[in-house]
Amino acid sequence: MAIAAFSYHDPTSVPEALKLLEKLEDAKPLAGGQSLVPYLFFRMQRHRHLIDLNNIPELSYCSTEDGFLRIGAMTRQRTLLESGLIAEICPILQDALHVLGHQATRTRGTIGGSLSNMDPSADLFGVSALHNAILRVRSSRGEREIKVSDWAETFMKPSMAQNEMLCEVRWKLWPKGHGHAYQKFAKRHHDYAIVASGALMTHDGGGKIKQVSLVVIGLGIKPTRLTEAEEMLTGKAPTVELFAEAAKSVRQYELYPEEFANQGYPRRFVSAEFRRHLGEVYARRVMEAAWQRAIR
Amino acid sequence: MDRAIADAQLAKTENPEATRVVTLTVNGAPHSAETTTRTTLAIFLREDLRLTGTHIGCAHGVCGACTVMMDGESVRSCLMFAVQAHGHDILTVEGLSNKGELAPLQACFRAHHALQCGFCTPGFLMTLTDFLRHNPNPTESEVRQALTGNLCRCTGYKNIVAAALDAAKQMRANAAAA
Repeated sequence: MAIAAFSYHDPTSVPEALKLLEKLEDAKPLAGGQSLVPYLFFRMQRHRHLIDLNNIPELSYCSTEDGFLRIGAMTRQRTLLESGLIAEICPILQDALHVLGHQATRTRGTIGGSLSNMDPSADLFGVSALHNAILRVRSSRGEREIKVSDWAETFMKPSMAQNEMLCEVRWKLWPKGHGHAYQKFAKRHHDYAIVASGALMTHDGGGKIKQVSLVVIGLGIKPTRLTEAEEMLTGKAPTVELFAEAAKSVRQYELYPEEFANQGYPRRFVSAEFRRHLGEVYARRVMEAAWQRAIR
Repeated sequence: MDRAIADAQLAKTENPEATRVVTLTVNGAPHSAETTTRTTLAIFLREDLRLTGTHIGCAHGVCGACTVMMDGESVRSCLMFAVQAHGHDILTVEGLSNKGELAPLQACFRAHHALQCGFCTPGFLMTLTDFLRHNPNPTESEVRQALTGNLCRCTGYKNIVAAALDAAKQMRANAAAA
């Protein structure tokens, strides 16, 4: 099907884009377009105006400052996957990007587009949740910061107003040499996650876990941080049994509200029970893998 | 608001059928054509520039048949608007051969019988051209992962993977000889 008619705008600066977003009715920012353009084709979405952000170089960067990683919203997934800096300081981002989409979609796809689209299967949302990321959104009236835990307003809708736009993601870096793992279950390699899990871990030097962060995506409309499992593991000397016990806590978390449970094919054909089972299995696997890397 | 009313208002106050002159380089040659801003790059290449080597399979980013390279990196030309390629450098399957001589990757596709109907082939060639430039000595598993974004309904992929590995070997030999 052809895309419904829209008016195209291509600003070259953030203030110009924000002004358009403020002024125009039903305007939608266009980032990499790897999800939005298919939605337009299917007419799942239809907008009177598209504001193309691809000509705004100031939104594309990746840097570190005071122990924080800062990534501009229009930074391409491929750029992050091929970045030597990211490989060194935040390898789990590349673990996730490696199983996210395909070579050609990562060339165009951006981190900010992925987070703003807020698909419950979005791997980058999961990685952001693992790091307690802060999302900086701007409008022509000012800017504010949103915690990643508050990012989801509802199914596929971030808590941004119509005139706001995500400009930067930042998170605190983990110490050098930390353990990391990200694995996902999908219908085919690199496809939308049915369930995925990520883990970050540090070793105290004496055989115990010093710090741990765990997430599962695919259980609900936003990533599920396994806070109970994190508490269970902190300060303990891990064993296979301990990881298995901690992973069991996945089963207590809420699944999608019923009205969304069947929306989108990663969910439609997979029962809630099977998703919980996968969550438990994948959480256990990434805990084990992250620990192996933490003690290397 | 009722959709029909919205559409009527849209027609009055906005100009969704606005056209732009898109100027870009395709396979080393400059091209320029006027097109509507909602025309995808894939349709622009095929219908405005009459470069029909780029195929449109699913037209929503799943099958990979429309893959082309922009500024040296593979992209889905059905998920971009032509206006977004303005000023950029595009390589399509028509640009792979050199004065009628097949590129090593194309010759390997022929030698290994890596196509049957051939519909998906332009996309596979462009994906692999990008991949092999960045990874000249891949493992079979890496080739298979690079090809996850391209669907072929005929071959079962086995011969495509064999052709890619053989092409990588020949290209390494050519590079060493040069």
